[in-house]
Amino acid sequence: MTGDEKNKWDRLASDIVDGHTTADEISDERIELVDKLKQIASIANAFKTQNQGHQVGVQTEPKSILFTWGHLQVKEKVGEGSYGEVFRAYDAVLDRDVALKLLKHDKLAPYQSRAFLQEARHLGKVRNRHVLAVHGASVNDGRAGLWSDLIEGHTIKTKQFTHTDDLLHLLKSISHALVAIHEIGLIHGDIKPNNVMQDAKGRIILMDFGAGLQSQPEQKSSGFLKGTPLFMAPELFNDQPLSAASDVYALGTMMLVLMADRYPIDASNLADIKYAHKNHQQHLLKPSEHGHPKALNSLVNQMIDTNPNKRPTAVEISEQIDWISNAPQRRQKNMALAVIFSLLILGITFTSLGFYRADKAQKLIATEKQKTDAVNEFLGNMLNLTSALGRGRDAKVVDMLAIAENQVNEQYTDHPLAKAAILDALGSSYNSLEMSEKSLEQLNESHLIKSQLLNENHPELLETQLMLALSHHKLRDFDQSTQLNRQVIERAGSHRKINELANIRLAGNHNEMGQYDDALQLLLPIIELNPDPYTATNNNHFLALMVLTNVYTKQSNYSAAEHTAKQMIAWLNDYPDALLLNINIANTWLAEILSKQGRNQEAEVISKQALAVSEKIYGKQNHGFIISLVNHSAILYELGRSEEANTIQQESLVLAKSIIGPNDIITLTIASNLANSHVSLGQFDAGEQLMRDTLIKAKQSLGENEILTFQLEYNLAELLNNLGRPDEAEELARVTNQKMAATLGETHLYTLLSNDNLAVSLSQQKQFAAAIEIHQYLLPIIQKHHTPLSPYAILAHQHYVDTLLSAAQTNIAKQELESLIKYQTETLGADHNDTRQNINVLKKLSLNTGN
Amino acid sequence: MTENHESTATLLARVRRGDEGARDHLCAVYLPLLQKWAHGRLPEYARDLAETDDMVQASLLKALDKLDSFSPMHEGAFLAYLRKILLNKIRDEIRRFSLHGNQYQSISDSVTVQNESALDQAVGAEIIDKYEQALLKMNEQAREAVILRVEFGFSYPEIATAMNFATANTARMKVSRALQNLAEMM
Repeated sequence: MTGDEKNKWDRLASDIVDGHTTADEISDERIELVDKLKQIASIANAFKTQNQGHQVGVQTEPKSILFTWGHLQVKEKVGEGSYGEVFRAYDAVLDRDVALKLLKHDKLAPYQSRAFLQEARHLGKVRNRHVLAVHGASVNDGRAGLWSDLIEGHTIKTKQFTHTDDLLHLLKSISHALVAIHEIGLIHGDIKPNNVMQDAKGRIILMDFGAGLQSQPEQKSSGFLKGTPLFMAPELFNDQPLSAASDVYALGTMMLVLMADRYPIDASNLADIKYAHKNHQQHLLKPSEHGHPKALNSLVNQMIDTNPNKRPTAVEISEQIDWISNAPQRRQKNMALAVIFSLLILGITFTSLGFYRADKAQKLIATEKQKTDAVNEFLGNMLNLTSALGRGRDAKVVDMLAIAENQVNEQYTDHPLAKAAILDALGSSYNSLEMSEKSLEQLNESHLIKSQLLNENHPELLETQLMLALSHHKLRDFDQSTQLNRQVIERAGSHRKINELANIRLAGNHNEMGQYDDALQLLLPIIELNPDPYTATNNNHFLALMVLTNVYTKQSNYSAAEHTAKQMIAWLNDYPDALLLNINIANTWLAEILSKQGRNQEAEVISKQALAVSEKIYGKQNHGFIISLVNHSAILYELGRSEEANTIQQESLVLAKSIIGPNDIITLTIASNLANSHVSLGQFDAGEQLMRDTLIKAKQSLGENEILTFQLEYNLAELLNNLGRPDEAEELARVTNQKMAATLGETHLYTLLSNDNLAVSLSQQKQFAAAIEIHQYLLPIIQKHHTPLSPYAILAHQHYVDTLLSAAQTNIAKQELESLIKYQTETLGADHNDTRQNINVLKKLSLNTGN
Repeated sequence: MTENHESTATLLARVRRGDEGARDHLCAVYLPLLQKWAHGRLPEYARDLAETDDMVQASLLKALDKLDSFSPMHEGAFLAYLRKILLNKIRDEIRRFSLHGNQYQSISDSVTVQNESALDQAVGAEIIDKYEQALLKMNEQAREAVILRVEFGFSYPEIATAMNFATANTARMKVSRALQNLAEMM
């Protein structure tokens, strides 16, 4: 740079920054420097604007100012609420109009002002696009106030929200707002349509935290009277404080008002409201009222549940909305998949059945193939995948079947055998989905058709009968299943495959009924045939080995079970038509058996492989994979890697919620496992809370008398016993026990184990006679059905011994302890902690009694 | 800025001797200046006036308490020193809030926490970052000159007073050179 240039730049740089020149004439080589200087100029400008803006009085005409409050120039009053006044004011710092809310003078008790300011400042930390942005709070000229964004829009009204999509958008927005508010421990306290605004761009904004800001205990009653009673949760009338759950109730009420133009209760004054709440006079939404999705109506009903513990949290509402919002997309995919699925069934059916007129069938197949290709293309575009069958990932097969079922009824009335064949396919599919009652409907209809057209020994009829037997088996109606299987065996004659399968199924029934010898007698001859896997025409050998593995596992004969499972895997590996899925199931079983023998490290290796295969088969976004993940976490748990297991379970739960849905049985099962895992990590509060939450959902989604509901109630009662709260455990166990006995039967394992819980709680409350009576009733039954070596029998046995010891019935305790130690040594080994503990107790008892 | 009063160096010396009056005087002079400055540097959520003012006041008092370990020779140095303390404080504040804010983000994608200051919004965070980095590389005098002119909006006569330059013209030249130097490093 020359001297002249230097002098020029000594001035130019400041001139550019000061805005005195744009330096457009500068040569190209210095252009970059000029650009940088212009950037510095923009920084200087920004500071300048900031500093000017901060000088009150610069931006607005003095004439338009009503008064100043701190740095705000108050321009006009725009509203008045129970707690104060709202003004439009100019904020020189933000350089825009804001809403200023000032507490009324009579609200200026020092405590209240302090609380108001503190809470308003907390609110200032909530930054969510659906929560009114509060910029600050202060006291000026003796008046406490807060200033916030000024929303140009209107409060929501009924007519705007007649469409489901609008309602979902609204509910999702407010649930997001509540997540942000509740997350930092604040409560809104006054959710209602008048406090929800929609701005010009359609954004939903929750505002007016009036009641929330007055939620301190001292203000509670006045807050009630000035609040909006019909939006207030029932518990608030019983002196309970405002809570996140009461916000959810108010939101549910608001939704009900918008959707059905009514409140949860009919009342015109405070006394009537209290009376209606007290007497549970709620008007819930009917499942499809006003044409909205059932799931949305059900969600709103849950939100206004009279029991605050049963209401979903804001996070759960948001999850549910996602689930509901995605339903049309899922339905679309399901429809497309259903068409393919049912066409494939039809294709197979027509080619395998010879009784249908060939030319007509061929024409039909050709037409259907065209349709299939068209749908394939559509699906390919939609899902961006290559293989038609690989697309079942997130489609619900159950929806496909429902559609296929309708097609069958509509299209094949004149072709009964074709219809029967399709009904079989549907029945079999429902069985795979563990929807055996539905399966029975299809199979019974098929059976009826075939019985009228075929003779009783016809293999088509016998195959339907076999499927029917399986459905009854799955529904635990073993007598009916046994009867059907026996009939098939009698009629199968030379049909060896059918005969074998009937025997294997019969053995399965014996196994479930604890008739292990009978099961073995049927299975062993079939297994001895040991067909060469390379030339085998069916997989009966695998099925027989699978039942045998199950028998040995139930007998707690784990070494035999392990041997059989390995045989099963080896055979499948060589069987050309083996399904990868079956190999994986076999491996998962083997892992479980190894784990039961305490060989968890070997189990982990196999489980890990099974997990990898699952991922290959299902992909990660599939519940098949999630289930493998859960199995794997169980092994890790057994390995003592509880925290790792816990982490995997938490991940599985998140996956399951998004893929399968928050209220699906698999999701709830995972949540239940996670709760147990929390407990095992000593996180009792988290465990109990999750159990209770999951139990509520299970009851709502599955019903009071479902297995998972029972399991959760059992687990919770057990936890309460372990936490030294036997009175609560007793209350729960009694209710559960009664339901289980009525639903599952008196001698079902779950009924017996629940009874065991009851005995433990009674024992802890020193009601020994009643406890011992229950122990003595249930233990022999469990030992009979599941052998004394089974983990259930050992658990119940241990509890019996504990009760006897507490009741100081030393002699019987010693006898029982001796037999328990024998069983434990046989299954767990003499070195196992539990066994050693019992041996020590026995020694002490012997010393004390001198024996 | 302080031309009609005692010089900052004199006031600082009096504060160091425990003169409460001088302390109040310094606060009265610098608090509004720093408060205005701080508002531009804070993200929107942290721009609650009462809280900002508290923060600025605390930083100023902290600086005055530590005068034993720092002896600014002139007003410019003192302002640059206060700016440094405040900037650190603001960064702490943003970090603290960001950690808390992330919890919301995990729950909902649509929840956004705005971390940008008014300055970032007006100019762009990337430019501000380059500007800050370049400032750090400059010598103290040049840095002070830039800060006084660009950030605090001092006029050249004010800069001359604050930095003990002989004339306003000298101040302008020093500022211009500093700006050129800064631009080259950005």
